[in-house]
Amino acid sequence: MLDSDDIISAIVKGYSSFDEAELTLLVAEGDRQAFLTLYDRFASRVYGLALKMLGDPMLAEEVSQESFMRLWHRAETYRPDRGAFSTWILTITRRVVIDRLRKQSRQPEIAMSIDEHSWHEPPDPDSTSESNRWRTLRFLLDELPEEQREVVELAYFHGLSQRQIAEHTRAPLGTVKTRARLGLEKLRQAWFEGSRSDDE
Amino acid sequence: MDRSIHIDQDTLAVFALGALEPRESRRVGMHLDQCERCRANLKGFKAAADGLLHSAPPVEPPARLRANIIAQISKAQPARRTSWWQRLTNLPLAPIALGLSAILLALNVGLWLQVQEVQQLEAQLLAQVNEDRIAQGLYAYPDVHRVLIEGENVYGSAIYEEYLRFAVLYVWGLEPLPEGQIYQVWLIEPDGDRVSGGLIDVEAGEEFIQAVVRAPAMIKGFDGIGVTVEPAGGSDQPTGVKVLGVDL
Repeated sequence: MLDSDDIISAIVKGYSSFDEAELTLLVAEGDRQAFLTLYDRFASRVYGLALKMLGDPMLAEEVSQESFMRLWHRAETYRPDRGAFSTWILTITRRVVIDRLRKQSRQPEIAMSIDEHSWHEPPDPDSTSESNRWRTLRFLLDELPEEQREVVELAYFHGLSQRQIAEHTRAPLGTVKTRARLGLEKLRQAWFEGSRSDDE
Repeated sequence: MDRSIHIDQDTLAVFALGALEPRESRRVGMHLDQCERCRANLKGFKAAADGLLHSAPPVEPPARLRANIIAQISKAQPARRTSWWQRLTNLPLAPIALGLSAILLALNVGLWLQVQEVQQLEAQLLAQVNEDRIAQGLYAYPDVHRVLIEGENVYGSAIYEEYLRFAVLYVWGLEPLPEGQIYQVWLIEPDGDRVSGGLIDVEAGEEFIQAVVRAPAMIKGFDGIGVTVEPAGGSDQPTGVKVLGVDL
């Protein structure tokens, strides 16, 4: 909980000194400045995810707006002990996209239409920051065998069910499931190795 | 699903990616609620799937998005939220102001509570009048359909017109629920997905209820309506016992 000193601190130092959990508590109290601080920190991540999933800038904008409005209305449901704020807001964004896709029965363009060049710079091996680890995960995703990466991306970013993926890839359902497992296992293994090396 | 038969790793991976069909996903979810071993097996897949969220490259949105959101939050200020001024009155820096506020508050609290009560009652009555108007209007609509409700100790009918975005349920026999629970209406899509159609609060002594079910699309796009018992406030997807169903 935030106490009076925290609130005074926010006024004096500005909201940039607050972490996401503290800002979310303020948003739950109806604090617009705290909300906009969170928006400024995460808008590019939210919009980036929506754009990757939908491939349409206008729809990505609508989804980003809906995601942030859910933050505004439901900030009190965020539990810092269950995970990072970034994961929470991006999970909301993904759900909004998937809901839209399934309601409209519209499948997005599979091809990416945005320039990912800057994101594809090799990660700095000396850095142990969280963002660097995520960036490494992006590389690992790209390095998965094509058929495993395709299944993971169609499922997670395009909202296709296992049967729809089987139809799309013309592979048996069992093969689709195995590819999903193999792909996620590789990502999981790399992810936990990254976590361990960061802890050392 | 038998608890002793564990979920295979392939299925858990597809579950973590959110790609199981709704029915299978619900079955797996129910098993996971009961099975620690499968929950542990899922954990690694879930962590990798969460990581995927962060793998999308950040892209700066258009400036108008921020402006649109500011405009929207200016209109949507939930009533329970407090202003900066109200929070400042809680600061230890203003004990005198706080004391005065407390006295004024004590003097006005009775009146304020009464006003709140009247406003609440007025809102409830207005909502009820509106629901009655919708129900009457639907009866007068051409090509209206009436189907029977199926449920244990629950009976009644559902009235709808295929091209409208709402239906009306007339139900007898719904029992009041314990505190912390509420009835939730679900519209069933052809692929089995459920969309919330609203909440029904049954009070003691209410033998009959009339509920307007609001749909996100025309009723003809749905295969049925169901009602389940959910935690107060409702759920994103059905989690509780089904008490009635209607085939549209």
